[in-house]
Amino acid sequence: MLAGLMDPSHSHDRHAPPIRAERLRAAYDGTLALEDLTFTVEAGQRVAIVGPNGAGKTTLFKVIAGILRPTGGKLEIFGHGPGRHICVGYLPQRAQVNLDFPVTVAEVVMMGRVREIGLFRWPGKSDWEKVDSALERVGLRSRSGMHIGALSAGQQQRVYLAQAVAQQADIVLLDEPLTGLDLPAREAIFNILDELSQMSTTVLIATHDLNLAAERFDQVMLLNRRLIAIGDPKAAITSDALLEAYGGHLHIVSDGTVVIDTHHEGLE
Amino acid sequence: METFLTDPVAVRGLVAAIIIGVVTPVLGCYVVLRGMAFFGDALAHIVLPGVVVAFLLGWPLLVGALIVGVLSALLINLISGTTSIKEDSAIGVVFVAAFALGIALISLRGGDYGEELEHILFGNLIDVSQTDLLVIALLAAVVLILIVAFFKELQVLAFDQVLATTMQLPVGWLNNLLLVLLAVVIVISLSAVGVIMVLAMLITPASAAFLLTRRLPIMMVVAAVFGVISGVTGLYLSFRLGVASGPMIVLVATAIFGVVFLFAPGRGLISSRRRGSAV
Repeated sequence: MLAGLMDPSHSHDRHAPPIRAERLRAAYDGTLALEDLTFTVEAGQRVAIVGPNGAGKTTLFKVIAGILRPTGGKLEIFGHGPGRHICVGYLPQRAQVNLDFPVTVAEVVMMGRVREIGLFRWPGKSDWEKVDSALERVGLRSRSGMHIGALSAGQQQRVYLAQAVAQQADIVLLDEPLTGLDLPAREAIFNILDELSQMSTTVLIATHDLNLAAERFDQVMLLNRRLIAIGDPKAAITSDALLEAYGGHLHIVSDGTVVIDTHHEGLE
Repeated sequence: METFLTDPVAVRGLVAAIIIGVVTPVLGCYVVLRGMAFFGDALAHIVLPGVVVAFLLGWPLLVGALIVGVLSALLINLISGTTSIKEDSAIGVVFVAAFALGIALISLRGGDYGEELEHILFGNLIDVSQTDLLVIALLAAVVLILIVAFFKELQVLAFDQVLATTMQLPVGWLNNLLLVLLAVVIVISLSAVGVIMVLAMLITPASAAFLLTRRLPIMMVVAAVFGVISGVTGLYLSFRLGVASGPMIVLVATAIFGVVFLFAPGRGLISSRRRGSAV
């Protein structure tokens, strides 16, 4: 009886792309946050989603993660509708995590395996081995017994990445993972993302940082409720597209440098 | 101490104090970690009309309290999920109304209700019957088994609700489970500390344990140890001083919390001040 509590998860259609959206619409708090998005993300791609505050980046992640239902159109994760997928790892913006919670680094990573382990079972030896190797991959194996609150912000982000690795997520969504991190901490995270995409894990990242998106990602998606452009950075980031995404907050200096005035929106 | 342990009434009270001292603080760890203290207090007051109706109908008091407790826990969850009223306001409206209804029912009945009401409000372990003890033990066992069985799911839910949802855990079901467990634990604690002070048993030992530990299973064990010490010492003191058990248990629990609050390594008041980062 209790086994029926968990909906059976979808099997993957391996030939289907990890994410395919067709005229996808979604509302957040009653207002339309995403309008008619049509795009496809291929396996192993790294996509940066760029747009002003309120552009719907977080809403898009929540829909892909199965937390929020689309209000129209179609979204397919490996050929099946959203929800009932346990292959999506979602790292929300950091503020939401309770760092006083009595839990060790290894236990946080193990949380990624809870669904896989199933009800009424305890983590076995192979589960702890997966946790260890996930922590190894993000360079934090030596910290596994420490309290989560004792780590730096960058290390905490890596712990959540390890959690997604232990979850064996095929799609990893990161919402503003670099905010407040220094350069070495950012580099450490990019190295992990490189490894993930080599293992054909699909990585989507929401960011305000256009330069970063252009330099470090295969694909850039410009979003402002509607999909303004998607493609490789050179093709997607045009001054027209930027103007459409950011409107009056965009200033193009004579030498081609782009300045986005985000202060009006209280960003950063 | 000897007369205390040879009196069968006192021994029943002692066993009840130990059982309640274990199970209530263990579940209380989730109440503390999820910031549900107000909810717990409200639920404790809400069961009052259930107790009174059971009393008037001649049912075991625990049964009445349990039915009302579980139903209102689920009802509050439903209301706050379907209206735009903030959860704490909704709880406040429901719980004071239920408490008032309970008091009104007791007054309506007339006659001599003073002592019974006092026991419900403030708790009295000396009053625990053989049947009560059996029911308390049985319910406590069920609660502990469920806490262990769903440990990893409840832990994820308490730590990160978004993660639990993303992993497609049955979040709504688990939340309801926690509320039902909370109602059960409150009801079995009533005989020890009463409606007014159940909250102390739920959150005081767990809060002290929170300051001392960095892992949830250990926090639960430490909370249970504090709960048992509070229950047993409080009962003994109430026996010796001729005071109701509830207040004494709460006072001992609070004294433990006070000591921990001052001296806890790393997170106590004194070590915080030493580091120059006063709370």
